[in-house]
Amino acid sequence: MPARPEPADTELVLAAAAHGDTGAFARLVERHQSMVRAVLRRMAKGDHALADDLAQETFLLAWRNLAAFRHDARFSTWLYRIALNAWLSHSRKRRESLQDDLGEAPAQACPGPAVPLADRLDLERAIATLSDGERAAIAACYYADLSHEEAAAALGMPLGTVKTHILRAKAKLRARLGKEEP
Amino acid sequence: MTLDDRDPIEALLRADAGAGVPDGGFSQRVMRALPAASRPRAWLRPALVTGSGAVGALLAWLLAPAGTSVVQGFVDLARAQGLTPSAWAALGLAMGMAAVAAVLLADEA
Repeated sequence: MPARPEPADTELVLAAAAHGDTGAFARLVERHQSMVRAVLRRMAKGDHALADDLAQETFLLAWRNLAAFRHDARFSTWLYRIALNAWLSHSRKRRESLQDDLGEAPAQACPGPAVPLADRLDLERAIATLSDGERAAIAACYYADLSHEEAAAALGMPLGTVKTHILRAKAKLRARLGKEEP
Repeated sequence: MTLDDRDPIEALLRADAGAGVPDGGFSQRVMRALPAASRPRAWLRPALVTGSGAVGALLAWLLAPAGTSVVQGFVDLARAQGLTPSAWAALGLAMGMAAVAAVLLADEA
Protein backbone atom coordinates (compact mmCIF):
# COMPACT_ATOMS: atom_id res chain seq x y z
CA MET A 1 0.00 0.00 0.00
CA PRO A 2 1.55 3.29 -1.03
CA ALA A 3 2.29 5.79 1.71
CA ARG A 4 -0.11 8.69 1.98
CA PRO A 5 1.44 11.75 0.34
CA GLU A 6 2.42 14.61 2.56
CA PRO A 7 -0.36 17.20 2.72
CA ALA A 8 0.37 20.45 0.91
CA ASP A 9 0.91 23.65 2.88
CA THR A 10 -2.48 24.90 1.73
CA GLU A 11 -4.28 21.90 3.25
CA LEU A 12 -2.41 22.27 6.52
CA VAL A 13 -3.10 26.00 6.69
CA LEU A 14 -6.80 25.42 6.07
CA ALA A 15 -6.96 22.74 8.77
CA ALA A 16 -5.11 24.92 11.26
CA ALA A 17 -7.04 28.09 10.49
CA ALA A 18 -10.53 26.64 10.25
CA HIS A 19 -10.40 24.03 12.97
CA GLY A 20 -7.53 25.15 15.20
CA ASP A 21 -5.72 21.93 14.26
CA THR A 22 -2.47 22.23 16.19
CA GLY A 23 -1.17 19.03 14.61
CA ALA A 24 -1.43 20.61 11.16
CA PHE A 25 0.31 23.74 12.41
CA ALA A 26 3.05 21.62 13.98
CA ARG A 27 3.71 20.09 10.53
CA LEU A 28 3.99 23.59 9.07
CA VAL A 29 6.45 24.62 11.79
CA GLU A 30 8.56 21.52 11.22
CA ARG A 31 8.48 22.08 7.47
CA HIS A 32 9.45 25.76 7.51
CA GLN A 33 11.50 26.25 10.67
CA SER A 34 14.75 25.74 8.79
CA MET A 35 14.06 28.51 6.27
CA VAL A 36 12.80 30.98 8.86
CA ARG A 37 15.69 30.36 11.26
CA ALA A 38 18.30 30.43 8.49
CA VAL A 39 17.00 33.77 7.21
CA LEU A 40 16.91 35.27 10.69
CA ARG A 41 20.37 33.93 11.54
CA ARG A 42 21.75 35.73 8.51
CA MET A 43 19.86 38.92 9.39
CA ALA A 44 21.00 38.69 13.03
CA LYS A 45 24.64 38.42 11.95
CA GLY A 46 24.96 34.91 13.32
CA ASP A 47 23.30 35.54 16.70
CA HIS A 48 21.50 32.19 16.86
CA ALA A 49 19.71 32.84 20.15
CA LEU A 50 18.23 36.12 18.92
CA ALA A 51 17.34 34.53 15.57
CA ASP A 52 15.53 31.64 17.28
CA ASP A 53 13.60 34.02 19.55
CA LEU A 54 12.48 35.99 16.50
CA ALA A 55 11.68 32.76 14.65
CA GLN A 56 9.45 31.67 17.53
CA GLU A 57 7.77 35.08 17.47
CA THR A 58 7.30 34.63 13.70
CA PHE A 59 5.46 31.34 14.11
CA LEU A 60 3.33 32.64 16.98
CA LEU A 61 2.30 35.62 14.82
CA ALA A 62 1.59 33.25 11.94
CA TRP A 63 -0.64 31.12 14.19
CA ARG A 64 -2.59 34.16 15.35
CA ASN A 65 -3.02 35.44 11.80
CA LEU A 66 -3.53 32.22 9.84
CA ALA A 67 -7.04 33.31 8.88
CA ALA A 68 -5.51 36.33 7.12
CA PHE A 69 -3.41 34.13 4.80
CA ARG A 70 -5.05 34.55 1.39
CA HIS A 71 -3.31 31.74 -0.51
CA ASP A 72 -2.29 34.17 -3.27
CA ALA A 73 1.38 33.58 -2.45
CA ARG A 74 3.39 30.64 -1.18
CA PHE A 75 3.01 30.02 2.55
CA SER A 76 6.80 30.19 2.85
CA THR A 77 6.78 33.67 1.29
CA TRP A 78 4.10 34.79 3.75
CA LEU A 79 6.16 33.39 6.63
CA TYR A 80 9.27 35.10 5.30
CA ARG A 81 7.44 38.44 5.34
CA ILE A 82 6.38 37.91 8.95
CA ALA A 83 9.97 36.99 9.86
CA LEU A 84 11.28 40.08 8.08
CA ASN A 85 8.79 42.28 9.93
CA ALA A 86 9.79 40.69 13.22
CA TRP A 87 13.41 41.45 12.41
CA LEU A 88 12.64 45.04 11.33
CA SER A 89 10.63 45.61 14.49
CA HIS A 90 13.53 44.31 16.55
CA SER A 91 15.95 46.49 14.57
CA ARG A 92 13.84 49.59 15.07
CA LYS A 93 14.03 49.00 18.79
CA ARG A 94 17.79 49.02 18.42
CA ARG A 95 17.58 52.08 16.16
CA GLU A 96 18.81 50.10 13.20
CA SER A 97 17.36 50.12 9.73
CA LEU A 98 17.90 48.59 6.33
CA GLN A 99 19.50 51.81 5.11
CA ASP A 100 22.82 50.91 3.55
CA ASP A 101 24.53 54.06 4.64
CA LEU A 102 23.82 53.36 8.25
CA GLY A 103 24.34 49.62 8.02
CA GLU A 104 27.52 49.53 5.99
CA ALA A 105 30.01 47.31 7.77
CA PRO A 106 33.22 48.93 8.92
CA ALA A 107 36.20 48.25 6.71
CA GLN A 108 38.20 46.66 9.50
CA ALA A 109 35.57 43.91 9.84
CA CYS A 110 36.81 42.47 6.57
CA PRO A 111 39.16 39.56 7.18
CA GLY A 112 40.82 40.13 3.82
CA PRO A 113 41.04 38.10 0.68
CA ALA A 114 43.94 35.98 1.88
CA VAL A 115 41.83 33.96 4.31
CA PRO A 116 41.16 30.62 2.60
CA LEU A 117 38.01 29.67 4.53
CA ALA A 118 35.06 27.90 3.02
CA ASP A 119 32.95 26.18 5.65
CA ARG A 120 29.53 27.29 6.78
CA LEU A 121 30.70 29.08 9.88
CA ASP A 122 33.05 31.20 7.86
CA LEU A 123 30.31 31.97 5.38
CA GLU A 124 28.04 33.01 8.25
CA ARG A 125 30.75 35.30 9.60
CA ALA A 126 31.40 36.74 6.18
CA ILE A 127 27.69 37.40 5.62
CA ALA A 128 27.60 39.17 8.98
CA THR A 129 30.05 41.74 7.61
CA LEU A 130 27.74 42.72 4.74
CA SER A 131 25.56 45.80 4.91
CA ASP A 132 21.99 45.35 6.14
CA GLY A 133 20.58 45.70 2.63
CA GLU A 134 23.02 43.20 1.17
CA ARG A 135 22.37 40.74 3.99
CA ALA A 136 18.63 41.11 3.54
CA ALA A 137 18.90 40.49 -0.21
CA ILE A 138 21.13 37.43 0.26
CA ALA A 139 18.84 36.03 2.96
CA ALA A 140 15.77 36.54 0.80
CA CYS A 141 17.14 35.16 -2.46
CA TYR A 142 19.17 32.24 -1.14
CA TYR A 143 17.85 31.26 2.29
CA ALA A 144 14.15 32.07 1.67
CA ASP A 145 14.45 30.95 -1.96
CA LEU A 146 12.62 34.00 -3.30
CA SER A 147 13.03 35.24 -6.83
CA HIS A 148 14.59 38.68 -7.24
CA GLU A 149 11.11 40.06 -7.98
CA GLU A 150 9.60 38.46 -4.86
CA ALA A 151 12.51 39.71 -2.76
CA ALA A 152 12.09 43.23 -4.11
CA ALA A 153 8.40 43.18 -3.22
CA ALA A 154 8.99 41.76 0.25
CA LEU A 155 11.86 44.09 1.07
CA GLY A 156 10.20 47.16 -0.42
CA MET A 157 13.20 47.79 -2.66
CA PRO A 158 13.37 48.40 -6.41
CA LEU A 159 14.27 45.27 -8.36
CA GLY A 160 17.50 46.89 -9.56
CA THR A 161 18.56 47.58 -5.98
CA VAL A 162 18.06 43.95 -5.02
CA LYS A 163 20.16 42.80 -7.97
CA THR A 164 22.86 45.32 -7.10
CA HIS A 165 22.86 44.19 -3.47
CA ILE A 166 23.25 40.57 -4.56
CA LEU A 167 26.12 41.36 -6.93
CA ARG A 168 27.94 43.51 -4.37
CA ALA A 169 27.36 40.98 -1.60
CA LYS A 170 28.75 38.14 -3.69
CA ALA A 171 31.77 40.22 -4.66
CA LYS A 172 32.45 41.00 -0.99
CA LEU A 173 31.97 37.36 0.03
CA ARG A 174 34.26 36.27 -2.78
CA ALA A 175 36.93 38.63 -1.55
CA ARG A 176 36.51 37.79 2.10
CA LEU A 177 36.45 34.05 1.62
CA GLY A 178 39.24 34.09 -0.92
CA LYS A 179 37.12 32.53 -3.63
CA GLU A 180 37.77 33.90 -7.06
CA GLU A 181 35.50 33.32 -10.02
CA PRO A 182 36.93 30.86 -12.56
CA MET B 1 26.71 25.13 -17.41
CA THR B 2 26.03 28.77 -16.64
CA LEU B 3 28.44 31.28 -15.18
CA ASP B 4 26.54 31.08 -11.88
CA ASP B 5 27.06 27.31 -11.70
CA ARG B 6 30.83 27.84 -11.84
CA ASP B 7 30.86 30.63 -9.28
CA PRO B 8 32.15 29.15 -6.00
CA ILE B 9 30.29 31.76 -3.93
CA GLU B 10 27.05 30.96 -5.71
CA ALA B 11 27.65 27.26 -5.06
CA LEU B 12 28.58 27.88 -1.43
CA LEU B 13 25.48 29.98 -0.77
CA ARG B 14 23.23 27.40 -2.41
CA ALA B 15 24.86 24.56 -0.49
CA ASP B 16 24.58 26.43 2.80
CA ALA B 17 20.93 27.30 2.19
CA GLY B 18 20.23 23.73 1.12
CA ALA B 19 21.86 22.25 4.21
CA GLY B 20 19.15 23.80 6.38
CA VAL B 21 18.97 24.24 10.13
CA PRO B 22 18.37 21.11 12.24
CA ASP B 23 15.16 21.34 14.26
CA GLY B 24 16.79 20.50 17.59
CA GLY B 25 13.53 20.78 19.53
CA PHE B 26 12.64 24.19 18.08
CA SER B 27 9.27 23.06 16.72
CA GLN B 28 8.25 21.60 20.08
CA ARG B 29 9.24 24.84 21.78
CA VAL B 30 7.03 26.78 19.39
CA MET B 31 4.09 24.43 19.88
CA ARG B 32 4.41 24.67 23.66
CA ALA B 33 4.31 28.47 23.38
CA LEU B 34 1.12 28.61 21.28
CA PRO B 35 -1.41 30.77 23.11
CA ALA B 36 -4.36 28.53 23.90
CA ALA B 37 -6.72 31.46 24.36
CA SER B 38 -6.21 32.72 20.83
CA ARG B 39 -6.90 29.45 19.07
CA PRO B 40 -9.63 29.90 16.51
CA ARG B 41 -13.11 29.18 17.90
CA ALA B 42 -15.44 28.65 15.00
CA TRP B 43 -18.54 28.66 17.21
CA LEU B 44 -17.87 32.04 18.83
CA ARG B 45 -18.90 34.40 16.05
CA PRO B 46 -22.17 32.62 15.13
CA ALA B 47 -23.02 32.43 18.83
CA LEU B 48 -22.41 36.16 19.28
CA VAL B 49 -24.45 37.11 16.23
CA THR B 50 -27.33 34.79 17.08
CA GLY B 51 -27.25 35.84 20.73
CA SER B 52 -27.34 39.52 19.77
CA GLY B 53 -30.27 38.84 17.45
CA ALA B 54 -32.14 36.97 20.18
CA VAL B 55 -31.57 39.76 22.72
CA GLY B 56 -32.73 42.34 20.17
CA ALA B 57 -35.88 40.36 19.44
CA LEU B 58 -36.61 39.95 23.16
CA LEU B 59 -36.19 43.70 23.76
CA ALA B 60 -38.42 44.49 20.78
CA TRP B 61 -41.08 42.15 22.17
CA LEU B 62 -40.84 43.62 25.67
CA LEU B 63 -40.93 47.23 24.46
CA ALA B 64 -43.67 46.74 21.86
CA PRO B 65 -46.94 48.62 22.53
CA ALA B 66 -49.47 46.72 24.62
CA GLY B 67 -51.74 44.50 22.66
CA THR B 68 -49.32 43.79 19.82
CA SER B 69 -48.56 40.22 18.90
CA VAL B 70 -45.90 38.97 16.51
CA VAL B 71 -48.09 36.04 15.53
CA GLN B 72 -51.02 38.38 14.91
CA GLY B 73 -48.63 40.58 12.95
CA PHE B 74 -47.75 37.75 10.58
CA VAL B 75 -51.46 37.01 10.22
CA ASP B 76 -52.11 40.69 9.45
CA LEU B 77 -49.34 40.72 6.87
CA ALA B 78 -50.59 37.51 5.30
CA ARG B 79 -54.10 38.94 5.02
CA ALA B 80 -52.74 42.22 3.69
CA GLN B 81 -54.53 44.17 6.39
CA GLY B 82 -52.04 47.03 6.26
CA LEU B 83 -49.24 47.94 8.63
CA THR B 84 -50.89 47.41 11.98
CA PRO B 85 -48.71 47.71 15.14
CA SER B 86 -48.54 43.91 15.27
CA ALA B 87 -47.48 43.82 11.62
CA TRP B 88 -44.67 46.27 12.40
CA ALA B 89 -43.53 43.99 15.24
CA ALA B 90 -43.56 40.98 12.88
CA LEU B 91 -41.64 42.94 10.23
CA GLY B 92 -39.06 43.98 12.84
CA LEU B 93 -38.54 40.39 13.92
CA ALA B 94 -38.26 39.23 10.30
CA MET B 95 -35.71 41.93 9.48
CA GLY B 96 -33.68 41.04 12.59
CA MET B 97 -33.60 37.37 11.57
CA ALA B 98 -32.65 38.35 8.02
CA ALA B 99 -29.79 40.50 9.35
CA VAL B 100 -28.48 37.61 11.47
CA ALA B 101 -28.70 35.26 8.49
CA ALA B 102 -26.89 37.76 6.24
CA VAL B 103 -24.05 38.23 8.75
CA LEU B 104 -23.64 34.47 9.17
CA LEU B 105 -23.71 33.90 5.41
CA ALA B 106 -21.13 36.63 4.84
CA ASP B 107 -18.95 35.02 7.50
CA GLU B 108 -19.19 31.66 5.73
CA ALA B 109 -18.21 33.11 2.33
